[in-house]
Amino acid sequence: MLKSSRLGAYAFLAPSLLCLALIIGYPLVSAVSASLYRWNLMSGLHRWHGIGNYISILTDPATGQVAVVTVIYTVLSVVLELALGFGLALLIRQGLARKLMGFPLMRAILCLPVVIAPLIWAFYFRSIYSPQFGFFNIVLGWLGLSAVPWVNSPALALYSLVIADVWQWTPFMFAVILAGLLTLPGDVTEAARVDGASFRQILWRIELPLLQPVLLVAVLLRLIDALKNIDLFIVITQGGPGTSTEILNFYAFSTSFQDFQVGRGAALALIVFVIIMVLVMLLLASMRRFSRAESKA
Amino acid sequence: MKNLIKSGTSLTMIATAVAFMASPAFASDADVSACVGKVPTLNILSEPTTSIQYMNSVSSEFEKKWGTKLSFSNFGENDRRAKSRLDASQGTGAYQIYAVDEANVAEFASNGWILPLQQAMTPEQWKAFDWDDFLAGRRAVATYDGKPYFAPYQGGGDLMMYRKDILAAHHLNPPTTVEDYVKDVALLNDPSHGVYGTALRGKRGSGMNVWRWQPFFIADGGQWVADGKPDFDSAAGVKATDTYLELMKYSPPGGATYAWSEVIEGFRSGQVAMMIESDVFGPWVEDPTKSRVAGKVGYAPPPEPLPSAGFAHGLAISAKGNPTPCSKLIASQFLIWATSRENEMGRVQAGILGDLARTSTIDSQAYRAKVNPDYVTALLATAPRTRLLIWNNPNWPRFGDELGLTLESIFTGQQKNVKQALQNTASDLEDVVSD
Repeated sequence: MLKSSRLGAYAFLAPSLLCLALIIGYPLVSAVSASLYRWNLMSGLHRWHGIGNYISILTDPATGQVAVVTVIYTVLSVVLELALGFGLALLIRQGLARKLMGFPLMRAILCLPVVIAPLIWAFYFRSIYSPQFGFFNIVLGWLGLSAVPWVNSPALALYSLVIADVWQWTPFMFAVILAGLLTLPGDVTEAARVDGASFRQILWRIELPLLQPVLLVAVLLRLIDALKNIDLFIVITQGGPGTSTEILNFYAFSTSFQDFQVGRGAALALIVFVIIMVLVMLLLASMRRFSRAESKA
Repeated sequence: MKNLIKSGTSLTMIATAVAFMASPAFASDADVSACVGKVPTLNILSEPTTSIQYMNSVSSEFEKKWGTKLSFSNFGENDRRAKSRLDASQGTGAYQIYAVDEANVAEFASNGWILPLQQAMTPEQWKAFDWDDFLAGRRAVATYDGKPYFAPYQGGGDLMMYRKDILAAHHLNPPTTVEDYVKDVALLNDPSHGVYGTALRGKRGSGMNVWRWQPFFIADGGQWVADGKPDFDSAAGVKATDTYLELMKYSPPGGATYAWSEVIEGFRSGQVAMMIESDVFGPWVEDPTKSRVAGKVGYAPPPEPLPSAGFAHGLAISAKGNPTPCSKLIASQFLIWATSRENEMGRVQAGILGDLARTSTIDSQAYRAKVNPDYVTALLATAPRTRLLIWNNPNWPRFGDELGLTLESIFTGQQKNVKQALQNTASDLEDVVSD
């Protein structure tokens, strides 16, 4: 009986497993296979290279620079988004709690950038950053200040891309954190307030620890997204000026589709994939830990 | 079973042979008309130039006559090149027509990715195409190994364009030497009044910064390859880069990564006093609906000893994208229509005066009546100095793009040592030259 019910379960699962195998398994296996070849689409070279691509990537000084740029971009974006999102969430929560006019509308408006497609967002920012006709430089001109080469200087370009990313994704952090804040048990904070705890003490000692699962999930999701980002880089800087905004994902893209070195590009993409998988596993582990803690409580 | 397979194979062979013999490949020119309605769509991988936009706007004319829908996919120059390389090298055949240019015709032709026009067209089609009517410079660029490979719709060389009013205010004549040009650019630079001495292409790419840099390099005696190795790291390469860097000091903010479009917009908006750019942009700066400097621009050949960088863009027939004889014939018919004298005259009537390729159009009264006579004079004076300056080799795209990336790094200050940066790239490209 048990055996037949198991078989029945597998039979029901089979179509989904087959779909997954086709959609995820096949591309993954072909990417792994491609990464083991010296494969150039232009010259037609397609020769077994073993782990040669991985060795050459890890020993190439350019990879080190790309890794540094990736870390700066990812960490800076996520930290700023977290800080700004948290600040905005606290502000809006206060407004909502006091039933101030306009706050429900503000809450909706603040979420707008998230619903715009990243590619469209990238085009907006490309025009906003234009050194001659961009909105930012026009405003600086009105103020009597000189124009800033936002994405035309290697010293600034990466930070300009961080600004664009923060502008789009802070609302995501805001929405998640606000939802978390609004579900916190009111009686705990109320009791602390009655006992004379200050706003800062309530925030640091009660609300932040309670929000920890929400914050962790939000941060990990954004880290994964930031690592995968490519739209801003393709549309605004194409990795330049020079190589100043080449992040791992863009490097993999340009190696595969601009230099047409498919084997090396696949190896780079798999390195990005492994990093993301580590983050995903961390995310799942922390979610499991928190749900266990919750059920114990 | 064996017999069954044998007879099946024979039948298939006979059927194929019959179908093939009935196809227009074996037919006379008159049978091009037999292909009407047989090719549902021609997919064209092109770029959003004014000429392509015009072709798209009048495409119903072709579609009605041949029963074939024209589907244009337009991308910026670098993206268009990358996409067509990928499609062609993989033999995908998703496009029947590619826009091809001086930078990649050698690569596409030598790899057999595009068909020689005379091979694709019937003798009647070739006659109607009227190859000899295309300007000599365009024909030279479109020809590889003695065979024409694309139908030009745009091309030209370089011109110096300057603001007559600004030069007059400084009591200056247009410079005739590079030395004077650099001096005058510095003199005319006046950011406090929103005017910069010049603007140049800084953005990476064989058709971007390398394109504008190469006349300086060639004028200084540079050669792309010497003794089987890249030679742009020579004294000529360093000197050309130094001159370029000097000029960039007097360009608008962010100029170190300008694409040609930003250079032109800077000039059209009145921010730039002088520039050396492709002559096709002459009519652009005279368009009063888009240019604040229309009527204020003077034209002259590039200062000596700069050569003029000749180029041409055109439409080529994909080898893999046209597997049937009818497809080849209709693709050929499209090229004939799109680059015909009638189509070019239509462009002139529509005010498109930069994207032209035929002698008969340039000589026409309609064209002469619409363009600034100084522009035509400068064009004619520059013609003897116009030639293909790039390394005419199938490996040029990678060679030029790698150099472009290095130049962008130098222009933006990411790499400070010019000689070292050029040497490193030259060394990286040794395998490309020996390939």
